[in-house]
Amino acid sequence: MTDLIMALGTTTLILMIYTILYRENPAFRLGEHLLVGATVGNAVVLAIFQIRDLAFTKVQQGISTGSLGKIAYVIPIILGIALYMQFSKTYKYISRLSIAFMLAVGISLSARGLISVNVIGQIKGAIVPLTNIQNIVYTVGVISVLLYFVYEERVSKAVGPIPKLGRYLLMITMGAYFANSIMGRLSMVIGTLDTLLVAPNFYLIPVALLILIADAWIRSKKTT
Amino acid sequence: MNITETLSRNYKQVIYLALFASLAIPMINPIGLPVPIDQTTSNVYNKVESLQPGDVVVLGSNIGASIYAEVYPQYIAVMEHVLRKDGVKLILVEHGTEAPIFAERALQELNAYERKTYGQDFVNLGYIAGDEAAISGICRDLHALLQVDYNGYSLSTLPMMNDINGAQDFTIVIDFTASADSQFWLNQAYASYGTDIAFGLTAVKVPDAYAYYTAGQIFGIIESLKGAAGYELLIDRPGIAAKGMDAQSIAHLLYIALIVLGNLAFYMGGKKN
Repeated sequence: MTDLIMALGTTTLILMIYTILYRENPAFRLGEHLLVGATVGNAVVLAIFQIRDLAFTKVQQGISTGSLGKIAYVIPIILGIALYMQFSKTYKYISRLSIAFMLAVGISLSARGLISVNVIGQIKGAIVPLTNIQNIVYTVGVISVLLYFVYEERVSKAVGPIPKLGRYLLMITMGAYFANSIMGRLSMVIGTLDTLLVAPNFYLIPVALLILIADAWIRSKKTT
Repeated sequence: MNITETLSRNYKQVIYLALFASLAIPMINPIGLPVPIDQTTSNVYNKVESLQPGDVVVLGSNIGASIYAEVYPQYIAVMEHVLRKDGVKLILVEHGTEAPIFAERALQELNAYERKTYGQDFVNLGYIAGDEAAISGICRDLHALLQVDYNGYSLSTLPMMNDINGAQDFTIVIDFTASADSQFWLNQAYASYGTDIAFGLTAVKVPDAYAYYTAGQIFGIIESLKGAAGYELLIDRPGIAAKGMDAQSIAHLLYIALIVLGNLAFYMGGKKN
């Protein structure tokens, strides 16, 4: 019984969201707000558990065992509370300390990996033996696109039409991005259709269609 | 009304209907078009297939409602494959707030709790806040970061976690996401510990990931529903992804036809509209 209610509830919500294809309406708004509300509610509960598990419990253990390392978890708790000072005009500056701390930690954590992965790793990866057509195309692509982004006039003149080739390759890449984007959106529809096109969920589709037809009829009557 | 005027009219509702039909009909009556399996997907399959008892697989996830349709089929297919491998340890890590719901759903769907022993063969660490800092913490010292798993069990009471401390103990990490989390695993696990990484991604993210794939920084990519379908066929467990590929192919043909028609209308209308 629970499964049936869940399945019909899911289907109803999917159909409510899809009604936007017909026109802006309260059913769509309700579905949208339910999704946002459920997502935020879930995130808030998880955040509370995270603070409990990653900080409070450790501080409590630190106090009971005398471990300074665990008591030090009180610092992120204070920094976290300080973030809420943003809402006070007088004490807003305190929140900047927390933001600065978060930025510093974030940058320092990612700096090493980013340089290693996105700079050194990518340069190493771009140096390939020109033994097959794929590697030749790859190398020509890398060089021509890089030259497209060289804005020094003398260099641009010296390399001739190569930057233009880079531009065309970039356009092809944009096309691939867009095609992938379409594929992704279709995958989402397929995922929802998989829920819609099974019994008993399927029976809600004609119900939804009847409601839409009735609405269209009532609206046409009103306008005439 | 001539053909130019006909083509230039706004056919929004007709296009929606045609798209719905092109997706729904092949899903109700599958045509059985062949599903090509990408090399990037095969690489992930081969890597999982080559795992030995004692190896540790980490499945990272940021699956939420918005990417569920694309990425969940990949996630469940890979998880099934890992569960089939005797003695291979599975760790689930979620870095999105909705991801634990889908992780537990996948475990239930695959009967993981009946097939394997929780804490001995697999563990769900649950959602860990902090993005890159959290992933860095997992890689450096998992036990210092976390004390309990998703179900509230202390990590020290889970036998398989006694020998797993961080990224140096992970054999492979496969991250399922549509956001920058995949980069976090590269920055922290691959760059610092040399852990083998693969991604399961939404279609939009795939072109970005190819830069890492061609540079040899990741060993594989499962690309959207297409990759999931390929993986399902490789493990001989056809599911929603394989079922949806017919629909996807037909819808792509419809898109091509619409693009051609749109351009015809543009040129025949003298580029006025």
